[in-house]
Order: sequence, then C-alpha cells, then structure tokens
Amino acid sequence: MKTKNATSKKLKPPGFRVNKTLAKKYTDEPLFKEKTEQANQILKTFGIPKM
Amino acid sequence: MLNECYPVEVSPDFRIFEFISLGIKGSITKVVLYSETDVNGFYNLGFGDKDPTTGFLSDLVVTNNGDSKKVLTTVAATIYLFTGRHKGATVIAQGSTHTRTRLYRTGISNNLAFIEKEFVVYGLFGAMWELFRKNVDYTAFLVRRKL
Repeated sequence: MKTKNATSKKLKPPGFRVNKTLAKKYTDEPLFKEKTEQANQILKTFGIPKM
Repeated sequence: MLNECYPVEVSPDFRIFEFISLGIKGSITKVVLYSETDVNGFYNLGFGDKDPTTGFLSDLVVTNNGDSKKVLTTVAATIYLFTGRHKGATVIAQGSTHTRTRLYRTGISNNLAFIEKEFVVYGLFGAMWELFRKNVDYTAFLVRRKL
C-alpha cells in the first residue's frame, strides 16, 4: 500500500513545488475577478455544451 | 511536451500557480489562477504577468521575452495538475485580446493529438460551443479531463 507522501508526490511532475504562501496570495487580485466575471458572462450567454 | 516547461510553485489546493519566465527581457513572474465561476464545477483560467514595480498583475502587457512556447507549455501543465486534483472540473479560458486567444488556439491545434488523449476540448464559435477543430476562429475554450 502506498503511503500518503508517495501518492501525493505522484501528482506533481518534476519542477513543481507546493508553496503554502501562495494559498491566499492572489485571490483578491482585480485582474482575476474581472476575468472570472467575463467567464460568467460567457457561460450565462452561451451556456455550456452537452458533455 | 510537458517536459519543456518552467519550474512552478503551486498553492496547496492546486488553484494558484506561479512561475518565472526567463528570456531576453530578464525574469518575469507569471501567475495562473483557477477561480470558480457561477457554474458549479467550471473554473476560469486566469493568467497574468506581475509588474515588478507595482506588484499588480496584468494580462495585457506584451513582454516579448522570447519564450512564448515554453510559457504556454507551462500553463498547459498547470491544467494537468489542476484537473488532476479537482476531478470533474471544467476549465474555461479566453485570451485578453483576440491575438492572445488565437495564440491559445494555435497552441491547442499544434498539440491536439496529445491533448485529446486526456482531455475533451470545446471552442466557442459564434454563439455555439463545438468540439475543437483546427483553423476555426474560436473566442473561448472549454477543457475537461477525460475520466
């Protein structure tokens, strides 16, 4: 049975590192709020495809 | 394809990614953020450059650092990681300008066979979503990992 560490390491290819300081770093960034609103408009206007 | 990307730092929830582009203009911090939209399970892919002076992010600046392919590959790699952690998530992406959207389209087209092994890709053409086809001027994209 794989340990939790071994399993979680599999999710990250070489060169990727978890950084806890990033958790809240950009969530209030105006750019991303604006882009999310644009995405909401697209989804509201055009819906979603049948998947 | 995914071997040619920058080292990336990721938040514990795999929604925020930060990497540094190295090129002819020096080092530029780039950020990818997946934020949930009003539609459950649909996340917007936001991507921007960090201004070294102000610290603010912008998706309109043209850095011309000579590494656009590597940057795009790195962004693509974040989609792998995000959808690997957030099972069933659908990612919506659109460029800040028509030129950027076309750049994304070109990136998808050039790697379509590889991408379609693990993802379903839709493009928004006019008012309709359709399965991605090459040489179509889409305005936005939806990407979902195959189960």
